[in-house]
Amino acid sequence: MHNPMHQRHIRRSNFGFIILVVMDGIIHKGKFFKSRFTSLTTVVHHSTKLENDNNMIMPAPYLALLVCILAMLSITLFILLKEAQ
Amino acid sequence: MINQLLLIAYVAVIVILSLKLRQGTFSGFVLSDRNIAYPAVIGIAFTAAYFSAASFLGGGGYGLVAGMPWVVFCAFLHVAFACLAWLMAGRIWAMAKQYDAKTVPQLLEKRYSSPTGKVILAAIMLLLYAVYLVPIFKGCAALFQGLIGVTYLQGLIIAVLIVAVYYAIGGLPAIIWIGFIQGILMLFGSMFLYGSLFSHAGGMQIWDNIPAAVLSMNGLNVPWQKTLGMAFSISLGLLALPDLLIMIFAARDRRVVRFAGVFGPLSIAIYAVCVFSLGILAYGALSSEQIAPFLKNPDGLVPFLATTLLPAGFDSIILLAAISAALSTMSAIVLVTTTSLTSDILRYLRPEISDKSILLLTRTVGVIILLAAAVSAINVPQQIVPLVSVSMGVIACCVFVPLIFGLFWQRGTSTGFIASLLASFFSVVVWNFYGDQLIHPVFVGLICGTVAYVGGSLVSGQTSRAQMVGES
Repeated sequence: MHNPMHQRHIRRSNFGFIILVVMDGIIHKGKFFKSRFTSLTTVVHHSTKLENDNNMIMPAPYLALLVCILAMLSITLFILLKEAQ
Repeated sequence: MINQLLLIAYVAVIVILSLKLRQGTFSGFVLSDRNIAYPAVIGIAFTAAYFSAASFLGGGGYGLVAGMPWVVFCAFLHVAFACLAWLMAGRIWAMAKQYDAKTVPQLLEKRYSSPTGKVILAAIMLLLYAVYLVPIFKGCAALFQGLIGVTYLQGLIIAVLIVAVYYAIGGLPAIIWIGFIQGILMLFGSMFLYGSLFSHAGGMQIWDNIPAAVLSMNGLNVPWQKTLGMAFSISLGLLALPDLLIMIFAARDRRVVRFAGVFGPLSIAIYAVCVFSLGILAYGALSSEQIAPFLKNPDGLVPFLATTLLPAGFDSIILLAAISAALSTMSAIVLVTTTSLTSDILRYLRPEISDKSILLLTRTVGVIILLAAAVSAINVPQQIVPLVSVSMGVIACCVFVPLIFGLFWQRGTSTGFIASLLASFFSVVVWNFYGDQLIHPVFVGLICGTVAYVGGSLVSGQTSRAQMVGES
């Protein structure tokens, strides 16, 4: 049996994780690839772990896709806006 | 009745805008005199011109057959290539302005001092863009059938009339401004559909209803390698398709291009995630009986979702969005196809021809090309995606190698340019018929084109240096 509170906590932390990656990317000027817990490998690992626990908010490849897209957009936005200054 | 009224309003907006933006000079018609000053307009028109009805219908439904790899590869590669394209767009704009190039073949001709290369590229574009127009017409006519209940043939005629009007009157400015409006419609349409599937299945619970085989990255009924090749070849177009590059040429200055780079990738990301996910999400929102007919004809899924899941009235907006996707792509394609014939090939053969005559020819020939493509669309194969994939992939291959090397490598020569064009074209065509189907022809074309370009440039560069040393 899964604890509903536990599931909710994991879902929240998962959303929080995505926001963290994106904000880190924007605030720290795209250096998040070097950060200790926000590499894309960790993202995939993290989401796969959730999938294995059957507590996923969405399938691991889909979550990884969304995170990668947000990361790519953040980097592009940063470079273009920096060039425009 | 609502659908007919919506269509009339839509056509009225197109006609009014076309008349307001009508052009009297060749430069204004094909380049908007490089005066578009609104980044959002260029960025979203770029997205609208890129995504056709094939992406809306074929791309939306193909997830039913290919499963999760289709969503992941397509969405990822589209956003990645869109980001790269817009990061390079400033350089492309600067090069086009420096050479005063009005078309992509002209840009490469001046970069490599190669009129022969220009004519070869223009001929390839003329042939393959005409092929590419056919499945788009097919999708568009089917959408008119769904929207206002006309026959397929009548749908084709309506599509020709609408595109012909705004192409012939307004040229590129009308294509860009109408493309912007069509792009907004497409974005809303894709988000409505995506949201409707989640809403119908009870929110995030939709993922629990989807079978594990659909969510597996091994692929459902299509091997993941094949899906990757198809996704790569389709999305490569973002980096090198001439009908998209002309939107960048039309920007007023480099600053406009940079800010357009914010709207372009963002709109592509939203659209790609929403549309390419529809196929797998349908497994979570519909019953197996509802899905069964679309496993053989995935193109029918999106109209079915629109009419089944959305409230009355909204389904019309979705169909109009899909029609917009088709019309925006067709109009941009017919412009570059026609200019490749009139401005690139004809002007090469008869340099004394005046701008006024070229403008008249560009208008007339464009309408003739539209008619020819529509007639060819009366009898075409069922599946849209593979058709688009091949013709689009060949053009993208042929432009991609000389464009990218031309921007970042100074040692490229005319010989390398021509060698890469021929190698890309013939390798893709030969591989398409005789090669291993697991490896997409575009991969082969890119490798052959790059090897031929680098080899041809190095050899001809050494020869010319040796000649210069001998003469001195």
